[in-house]
Amino acid sequence: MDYDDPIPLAGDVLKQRIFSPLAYANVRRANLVAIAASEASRYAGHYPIAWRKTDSAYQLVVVRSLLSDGRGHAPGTQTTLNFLPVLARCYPFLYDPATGPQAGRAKCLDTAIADEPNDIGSPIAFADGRPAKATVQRITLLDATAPSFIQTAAISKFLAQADLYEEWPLHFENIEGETIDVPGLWIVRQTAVDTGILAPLMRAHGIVAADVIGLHRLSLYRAGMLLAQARAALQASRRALEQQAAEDAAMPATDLAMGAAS
Amino acid sequence: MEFIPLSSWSGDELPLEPALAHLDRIGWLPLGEGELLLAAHYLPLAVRLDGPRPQLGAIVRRDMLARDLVAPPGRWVGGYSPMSLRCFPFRIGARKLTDDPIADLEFAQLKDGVSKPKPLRIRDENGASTAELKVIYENVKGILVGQHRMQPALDTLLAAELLVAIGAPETELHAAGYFTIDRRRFAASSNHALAAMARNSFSTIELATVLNFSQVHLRAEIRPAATPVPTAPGEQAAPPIETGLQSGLETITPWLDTSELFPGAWAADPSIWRAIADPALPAKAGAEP
Repeated sequence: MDYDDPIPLAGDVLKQRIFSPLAYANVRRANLVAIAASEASRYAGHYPIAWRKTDSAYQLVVVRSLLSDGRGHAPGTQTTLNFLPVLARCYPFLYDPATGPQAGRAKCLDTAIADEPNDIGSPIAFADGRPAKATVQRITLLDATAPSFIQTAAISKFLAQADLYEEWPLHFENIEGETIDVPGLWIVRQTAVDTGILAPLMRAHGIVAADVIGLHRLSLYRAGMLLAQARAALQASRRALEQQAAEDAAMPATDLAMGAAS
Repeated sequence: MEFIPLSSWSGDELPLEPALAHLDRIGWLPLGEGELLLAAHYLPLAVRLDGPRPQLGAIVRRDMLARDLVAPPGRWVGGYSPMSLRCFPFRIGARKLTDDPIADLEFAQLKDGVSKPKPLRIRDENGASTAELKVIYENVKGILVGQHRMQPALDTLLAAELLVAIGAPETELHAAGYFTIDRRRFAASSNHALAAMARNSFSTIELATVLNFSQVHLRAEIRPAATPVPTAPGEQAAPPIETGLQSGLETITPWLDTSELFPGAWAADPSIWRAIADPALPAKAGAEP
């Protein structure tokens, strides 16, 4: 998920208004969203769960679409909060990028504009300093999920140190004449499952690690659904372009006819 | 269901009843090892203990399922169709494989007098197995090999008392002997227990996860009750896996029937024998060979 320009949540920033997460393009377009291990069971039956390699670490993410421009999402999933992972549901708030997920620590606000607000929103805090309900809910959720994010990072680090990732090429040529590519995704390699190499991870992280690796492997089969959605989206876009072209082509003839009539 | 050795069938053609008309009698079908993760997205997986060894498969009985697998007039709408369903009514009967399909296979005879059987040519003009039968043979052999490979993992789950019968005690269903994972008990496993399960391979734990995950396809009333398990002091029991239940996510399951990767397929259609290999799938987790 992209953030425009996170700033510390303090001082005059608290006077700003926030809106439903769905009012923000960063949320509606988000195709890769980092999740905590505790969220994996909620999404494994619907979206692939894999790791994204960042500069510093491997991050557990849910893949919501193969297209990064807001298209290719399953119908209905961009209009309800139900399908949003914690980080997206808490938008425009986020953990301080400097400290990472930590409960009870100051959070940040992304400064993106709510381009599709469906109501008047709410101030982050009222004049008397009291935080608004929407603020409390989102910050509380971030705090509650922070420990799981920390454990998820530890599990991801273990897998990296044991060299148990392999790249997952989500690359498709000629889908409606276009190439679809989601680079930088990694999955747990088969040898990790066929051998006892995960036993130390079980000893260190127990049922949480057991669940997240099993669910990750199950969830990869949802890639087919994403491909079908991406194809449908590209097809719809192509048809719309063709229709526009046909209408444009028909235009001069109409002008001519009108000219002849006058 | 009674199975008859294929070698006892003298004709060159075998009339096959459409399996989809008989799912309630079939009840449960074994799965190949490579199918588990995919099948769990569509069918409730269950272990049977009535044979000499535990066996892992998928339930196809309508009275146990959260949704129908077949739409009139006999169209498969269950998403992924397991290999053993596509190979139905065949299974390996021989104790020692001879590589001769007609000698090794046996078949279930299902007759309801309603469905129209479709003939499958099993012998060519020289009396040898047809190519079509050989493909079926290779596939059911693959399922058998997979069943053997899953044995240690199933045994570990059994030894750890982590399996529970589906259905309320003292009901007919409970007695029918379909077992699944006891999630609460599994989630209460200590880190040391989980490490022990993972000492040689991860498949025991993966199997537990897959069994739990697929419980969502059982009718809500028969999903195993979450029995509270006392936890040792200092240990915190993990919450039951949610798998999208009551999360609102289940409302988007129309995807189940539209996935173009795994179209509903039925035996004797040559196109279904293509390996279920798609670039979208994880590289090393395809279907049975």
